[in-house]
Amino acid sequence: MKNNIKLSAMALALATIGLSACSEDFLDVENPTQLTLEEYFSDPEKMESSVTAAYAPLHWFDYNAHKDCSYADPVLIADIMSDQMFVGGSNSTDQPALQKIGNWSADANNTPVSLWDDCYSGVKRCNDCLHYLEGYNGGNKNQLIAEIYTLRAYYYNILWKFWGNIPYYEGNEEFPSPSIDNGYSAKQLSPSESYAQIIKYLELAINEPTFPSTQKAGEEGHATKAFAKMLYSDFVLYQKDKDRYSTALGYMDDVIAEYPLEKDFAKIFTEAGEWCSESIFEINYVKVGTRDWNDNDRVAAGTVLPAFVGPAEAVEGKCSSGWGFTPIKESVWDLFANGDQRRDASIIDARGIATSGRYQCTYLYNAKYAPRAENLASSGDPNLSYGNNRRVYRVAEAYINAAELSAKLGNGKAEGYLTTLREARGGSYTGSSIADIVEEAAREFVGEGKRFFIVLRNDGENGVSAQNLFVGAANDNSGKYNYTAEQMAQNGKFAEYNKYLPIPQEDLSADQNLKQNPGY
Amino acid sequence: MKRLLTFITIMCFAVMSAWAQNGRVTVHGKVVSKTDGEPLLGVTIAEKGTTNGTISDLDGHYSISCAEGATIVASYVGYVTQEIAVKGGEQNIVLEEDNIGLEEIVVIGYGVQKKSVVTAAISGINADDIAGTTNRVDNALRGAASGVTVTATSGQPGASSQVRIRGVGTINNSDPLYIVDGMPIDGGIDYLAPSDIQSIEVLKDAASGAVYGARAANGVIIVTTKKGKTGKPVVSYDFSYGFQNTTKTRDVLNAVEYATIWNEYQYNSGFNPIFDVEEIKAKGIDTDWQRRLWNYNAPVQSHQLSVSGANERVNYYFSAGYYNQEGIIGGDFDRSNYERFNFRSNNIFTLVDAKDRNWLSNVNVGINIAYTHINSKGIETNSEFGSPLGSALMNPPLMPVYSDNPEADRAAHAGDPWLITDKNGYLYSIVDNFQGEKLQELKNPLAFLSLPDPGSWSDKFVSNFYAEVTLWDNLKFKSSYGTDMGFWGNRSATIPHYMNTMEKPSVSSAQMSWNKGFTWQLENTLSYDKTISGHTFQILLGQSAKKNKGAYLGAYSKYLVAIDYDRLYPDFTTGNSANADERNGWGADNADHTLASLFARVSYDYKSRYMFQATVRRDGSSNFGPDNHYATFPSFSVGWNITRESFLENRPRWWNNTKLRYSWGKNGNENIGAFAYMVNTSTGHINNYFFGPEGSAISTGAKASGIPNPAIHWEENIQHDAGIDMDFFNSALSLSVDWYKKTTDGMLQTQPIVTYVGEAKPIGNIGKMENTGWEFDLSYRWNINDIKFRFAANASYLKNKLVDYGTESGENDVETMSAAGFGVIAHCKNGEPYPYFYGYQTAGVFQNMAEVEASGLKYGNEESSKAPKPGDLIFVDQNGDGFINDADNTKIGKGMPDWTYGFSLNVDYKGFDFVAQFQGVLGADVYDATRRNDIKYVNLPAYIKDRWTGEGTSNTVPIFDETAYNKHSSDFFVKDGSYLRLRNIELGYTLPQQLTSKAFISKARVFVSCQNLFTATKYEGFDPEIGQSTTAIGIDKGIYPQARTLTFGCNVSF
Repeated sequence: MKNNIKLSAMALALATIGLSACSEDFLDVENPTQLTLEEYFSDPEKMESSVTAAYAPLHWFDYNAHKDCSYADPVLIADIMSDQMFVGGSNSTDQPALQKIGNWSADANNTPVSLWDDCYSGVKRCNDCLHYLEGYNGGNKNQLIAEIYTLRAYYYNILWKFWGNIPYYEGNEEFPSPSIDNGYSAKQLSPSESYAQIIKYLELAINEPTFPSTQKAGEEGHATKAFAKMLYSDFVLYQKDKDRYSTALGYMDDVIAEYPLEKDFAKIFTEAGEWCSESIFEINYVKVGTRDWNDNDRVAAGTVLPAFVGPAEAVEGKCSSGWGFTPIKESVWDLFANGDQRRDASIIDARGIATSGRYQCTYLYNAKYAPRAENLASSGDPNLSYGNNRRVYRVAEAYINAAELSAKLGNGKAEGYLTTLREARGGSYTGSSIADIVEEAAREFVGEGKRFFIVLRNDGENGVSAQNLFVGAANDNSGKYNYTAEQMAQNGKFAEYNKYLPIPQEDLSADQNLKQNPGY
Repeated sequence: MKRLLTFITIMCFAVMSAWAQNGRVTVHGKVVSKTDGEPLLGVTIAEKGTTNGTISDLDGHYSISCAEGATIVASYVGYVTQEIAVKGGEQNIVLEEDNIGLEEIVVIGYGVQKKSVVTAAISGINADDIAGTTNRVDNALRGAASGVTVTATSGQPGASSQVRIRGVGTINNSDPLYIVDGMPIDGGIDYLAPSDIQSIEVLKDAASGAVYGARAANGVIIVTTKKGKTGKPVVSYDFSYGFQNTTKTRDVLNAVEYATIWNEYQYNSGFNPIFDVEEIKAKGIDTDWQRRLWNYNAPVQSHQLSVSGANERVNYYFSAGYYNQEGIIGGDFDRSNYERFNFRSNNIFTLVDAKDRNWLSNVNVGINIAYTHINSKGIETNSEFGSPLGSALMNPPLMPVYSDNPEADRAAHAGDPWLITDKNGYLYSIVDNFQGEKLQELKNPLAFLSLPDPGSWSDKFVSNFYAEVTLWDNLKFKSSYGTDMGFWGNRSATIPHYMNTMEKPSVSSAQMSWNKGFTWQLENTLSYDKTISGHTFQILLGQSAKKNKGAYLGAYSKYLVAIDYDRLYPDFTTGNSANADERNGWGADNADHTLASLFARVSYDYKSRYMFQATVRRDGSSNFGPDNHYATFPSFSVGWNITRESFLENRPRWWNNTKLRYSWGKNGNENIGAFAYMVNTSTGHINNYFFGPEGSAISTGAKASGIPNPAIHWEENIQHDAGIDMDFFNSALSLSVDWYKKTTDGMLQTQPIVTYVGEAKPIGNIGKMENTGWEFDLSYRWNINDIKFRFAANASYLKNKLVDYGTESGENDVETMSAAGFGVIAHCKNGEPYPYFYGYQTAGVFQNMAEVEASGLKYGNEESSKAPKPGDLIFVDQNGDGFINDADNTKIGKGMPDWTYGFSLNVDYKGFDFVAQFQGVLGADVYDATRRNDIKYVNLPAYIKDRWTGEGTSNTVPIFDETAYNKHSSDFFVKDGSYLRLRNIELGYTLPQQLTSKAFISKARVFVSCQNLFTATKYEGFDPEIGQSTTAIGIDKGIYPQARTLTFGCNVSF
C-alpha cells in the first residue's frame, strides 16, 4: 500500500513539473546561431561587416541560381543589347531571356530578374548600413557614409539605366524594412525624378573631405571619390543634364590627373592588370573554387562570366573553352586600325582555327573576360571559379566622358582628351565630333557593356542614331547570322521603349501601383 | 474496421471463497473462442446478480461455485457476453467474437471510444489491411481509407509518400500530425515496421482532431502498435521475398526515327539536315537507354520475428525485423537501396489490481521502446537536369552506352579528369559533344551510377513510459513521458571524373554530416467515466508540454589520399588548412521548439441514442512572438442514433442501425519554423566580399536576416462535418457518408510582396483556402457455403479552392521550368484549385495559311509579335486582343484528383485466403515535362512521330522545328492522369493444423502476392502517380516509377 501511495505521489510530482512547463519562459527560445540586430550592431567593430554585406550583391551579378535569368551581369545584358555582339550559346533557346533581349522581344517574364533583384538587395543593404551608421561614433563615420552613398548610387545606376522608371527608396523610417508604406511598395519615380535624388547623394559623397579619392593599397574594392565622380558624369551624361556638364568635366579632369593611362593595354585585363594604374573601380572575384550551382551560388569567390563568354573550344595560347555566349560581330573587328593595341586585347580571333562553333558563332570572342588558365582556381567547379575581376570604370572612360562633355560644352578641348587616349592605345584615328567620340568608345570598350548606353546618350547627335544600334543588332558584316527582319521586334524599327527593359512580372503582380515601362 | 482487445485491462472480480455450502453447486469447464477453438484466458465468469465471480486461467479453465439455479455470465472484451443457466459439473463455454460493429472500440486522441457513440469523422485500418505492406506504413493507407490521398513521390526504395487528409489544407506544410502510441513523431513514420502496427486511425474532422489543437489542421494519424494477447506466448515469424521490375518502358524514338525527325527539324528551321539515315542504319547503333538502365528482378526481402503474450500481471510484445530493397534504377550499382532494421518492446505491467476496493484499485505501468536503423541511398528523381532516368529518356539513341572509340575519346579528353569506366575497365561513352551540340546536364546514366555514393543513415529511438492510476471509482490519472531521439546523417563524395562539359570535377572531396534530434513530451491527464441510469459521461482534463531540441555537425575536405570507395571520409584526405576552402566544418544546436498546452473534453451520451462531445485546447508555441504565443481551439460534435428511438422499434429486422452526426471545430497550424516573427543578423558566404588584391583575406558581411512580422499568429482552420453511419442485415452491410467543408484562414505564408524590398520576404497570416468534399465508405460481408467474402470500398470527392491568396493580384506562379523552355507550368489564383497547371489552351494545329490568316492571330507581345505558320499549335486567345502572349496563359489542368477511391475483395475458403486491393484516382492530370525543349538533338517521346508534316497530317502534335511558342507550356503537354491500379493481389494458404501441430507450429501460412500488377491509365509516361511537393504534384520530369513486385512469403506461429 505504501508503494501505491509513493507511485501516486510520483505521478503527481510529474504532473506538477508538466504544469510548470506551461510558463512563458518555456515558450521563449533563443536563437543559437544569430544575434539580434541590436546585439550585433551595439559593437562598433561590427560596422565593417555591415559595409561588407552592402558590397556583396556586386559579386552575385554574374550568376544567381535563385532567380530567373540567372546569368545577368550588366556587361552581358548591355552588350547583347548593343550592336557589337550576338547572344550565342548553344541554340536559339539557350537562356531564353538573353535570347529575347538579343532580338528585342524581351517581356516581363524574360527580363534580367536576377540583376533587378541583386541591385535592390544592394540598395536595401546600403539603406540598412546608413541606419546603423546613425548610431555609430567611429572617426571614419562620415567617410563610411560617403562610401555607402556612392555604392548605393552604383546599384541605382544599373537599375536606372536598364529600367528607367524604377521604384526608389532610401529610407530607414520603418527600419529594418525598406522605407515603404504598409503594402511594402515604394514610389515608382520617372528617370528624371530618381536622377534628382541619386545625384544629390553623389554630390554629398564627392564633397565629403574625409572620403579618399583613390583606393588605399590592400583595400581595393571599396568605393572611392573617383568612383563617385565617374558615376556622377555617367548619370549627368545619360540624363543630358546640361547644367551639370561643367562640374562633371571638372571631376573628369580630377580623375584623369589621379589615374594614369596604362601603357600596355593588353595588361589591363590580365591577372596582373587587376587594380592597375588606370583602374578606378572593379568588382573583386578571387580564384577560389567554393561556388556551386545551387545553394552556394553566390559565395564570394570566382566568377562564371569567363566560362560564359569563352569560345566553344579552347584557343591555343589564348584561353580555355567556355559556352560560346556573346560572339562578337565581324563589324567590330573591322573598327580597329593597324597598330591599335586594343584589337587583339579585346577580341580573340578563332576564325580558321576553331572547328566547332555554337549558335550565331562568328569565331570572334570576348578576350577581356576570356577564360584564361592564370585566372582559374585549382579546385572547385572550373566554370564558376575564374578570378577575373569585373572592371567597372577605367580612366579611359574619363577621357571619353571628358571629350564628350567638352564637345557638348563647345569648349574646344575634346580633341585633346581623344589624342591622349589614342596615343596611348596606338592606331591612327582622327576627328573629335560626337560621332568620333562614340566610335572611339566603341573601340575602347568592346565587351565592357558601355556601347549601348554611350550610343543612346548621344542619340540624335550628328551621325549617331539609336536606330543604327538597332539595325546594327540585326546585322553583321559577314551576314551569316543576321536576324531576319521577322525575327526582330517591330521588323527592326527602334522605338523609344527599346531604351529600357521590361520590369519583372513578379513585381508587377505584387505591386499594383507599379507600371510597366510603356511599350511592353 | 477495428477492434482493440488488448488495450483495455481485463476486468476482474474478487474471487470469493467457494465454501461448499448447502444449495450450492460447482461448475467448471473450458472457455474457448468460436473462431479458432483456442482457449481464452481471463474471461470473467460471474454469478449473475452477485459479486461472486472468477476468471479463466491460461488454458481457459474455470471453476465457480454458485447457487443452484443461478445463471452465470461469461464476458470478455471483444466477445459477445453469454448467459448460461447453471446445471453443475462440466459446462464448456464457447464465446463468439463480437462482430457487430456497434461495440467496436475506436482510438481517439487520449483515449478510446465505443464506435456506437463516436460523433466525429474517423477512418481506420487495422493490422489485416496492413499485412500486405512491407515497405512503408504510409503505403498501407493508399486507397484504404476515405478522405486520405496518398501519392508516392517516387518508386525509389524508402521514398516517402505525400499524405493529404481532406485535400491540401494550406499552401504551407499540409502534412498530417502523426501520433504513435501517444507520442507525436516528426519526420514521418518510416521507422515503423508495418507488421508492428495494430491499427491506424485517421482523425479527419476538426472535432476529432481538436484535442491536438495546434497541430491538427491537416488531420491527425494515430498509430497504435501491437500488444500481447492474453494467452500462451506466441512466436511469429513472417518472411517474404520479392522480385521487382519496371511496369513500363517509355516509348521514345529509335535511331532511325530519331535521325529522321531531327533532320526534319533542321530542314523546318532553315538548317541543313545533319544525319545520314543510311549510314546510321549501316552502323547499327540504336541504344535503348532505358533498357540498359533498368535493374531487372531487383530483390526485396523482409523478415519479422515477434514474441508476444499476456497474463494478469504482464503484457508483452517484442519484435525484430529486417527489410532490404534494391531499387529498379541503380539498385544494382548500390545507388538506390534501402535497408531497415527494427526492434520493438511493448510492455504493460499491472502493479495493482484490487477490485475489492473503490480507491486506488488499479495501477498500470507501460513502457514502449522502439529502435530503428535505416541505411538508404538514393538518386535524383523527377528532374530535367540530368537525373539518370531523365537522361535515359533524352540521350540520343545514336550514342552507344560504351565508347565505340576509346582511344579517340581518351585523346580528345587528354587534359580532362578521369573518364568513367565500368568495373571491367570499359570506357563509357561521354555525353558532352554530340554533332556540335553540348547536351548540357545530360549524362550517360550508367556512368553516373558507377560513381560512388556513400549514402545516408538514421537511427531512431522512440520510447514512451506511462503510469495509469485508478484513483477512485473510475477516476483515472495518467502520466506519460515520451521521447523521440533521432540521429541521422549522410556522406557524399566527389571523385575526379569527366561526365560532360558541365560536370568535370578535377579534385576529389568528401563530405559528412551528422544530425541529432531530441523531442520529449510530458503529458498528464485526469479522466472520469460514469454511467448513471443511461447517462454516460466521459470527462478528460489534460496538460501537455513538448520540446524539440537538435544539433547538426558537418565537415568537408578536399584531396582524398586515394580513391577508395570504402574510405570516402573528410579525414581520408591530404587537405591542408592553409586554404580555407579545402577543409571546413559547420555545426550548431538547432533552435528549440516548444509547445505548452492545456485541454479538456466532455463526452456525453444518453443510452447511445443522443451523443454530445465538446473539446477545447489552449496551445502555446515558441514559433510566435511573445504577444501571440497562445491560441485556443474549441470544437463540439453531436450525434443521434435514430434506430434507438422508440418510434423506430418496429423497423424491419434488416435495418440495424442509423446514426446521424455533425461536428464543428477549429484547429491550428504553427508549422513555420522559429523566429519568423523577428529579425536577426545573418552572416554567410553570400554576404562576404574580398577587398584588396588577389589572395587577400575575405571580409565577413553581416546583414538583417529578413523583414520581420511580429504580428504573425496561428493559422486557423474551421471545419464542418456532417455524416451518417448505417448498418444493415445483421451488420453485414455497413455504409458511411460524410460531407465536410474545411476553411483555412490566415494561412502562414511568405507574403508575395515585391522583390525590390531587396530582402527575403516576410511570413504573414494571409490567404484563405477552402476544401469541401464527400466521403463514402461501404463494406459488405457474405458467405456462399464455406466461402467467406468481404468487400470494402471507399471513395472521396474533393474540391479545393484557393479563396484568397493574400495579395492584390490574387495569383502567383508556383512552378517554373524556364531552362527546359516551358516557362511557367503551375500557377495559383483566387477561386481556383491550388495549384493548377498553367499555359496556353490549344485548339488544334494550323493546317494551312488560310487558317492562319482566318484566325488573325499573332504570337508574341504586340510590338514583337509574328504570325504563326501552318503546323503551329493554335492557341486560344483568352483575352481576345489578337495576340498570344503571357496574358493568355490559363488553367490547363490540375494534379490533385477530384476522386480518390479504393476497393478490396477478401475471400476465405477453408485454408485459402485471397485478397485483391484496388486503388485509383479520377479527374487528375499529369503535366508531361519529360522534354528539354532547350537542348538540340535530345531524344523525344514517341508522340513526336505523330507531328504535323503537312496539311491534314496532324491536328494535335505541332510541326517539329525551333519555334519557341510550340514548346511554350500549353495543354499539349497535359495528359489525363486518372488511373485504376491493382495495388496488391495476394493468395495465401494456411496449412491444416493437424499437419503443423506435430511440428509445434500453431499456424503456418504461405502466400504469393503481386504489388502493382497492373495500372489502367491513358497516360503514356511511366506512372501517373507523381507526388513530390504540393505545388509539383502531377508534374512528370522523368519520375522514378513504382516497381511491380512479385512476392513469395510465409507466416509461421509457434
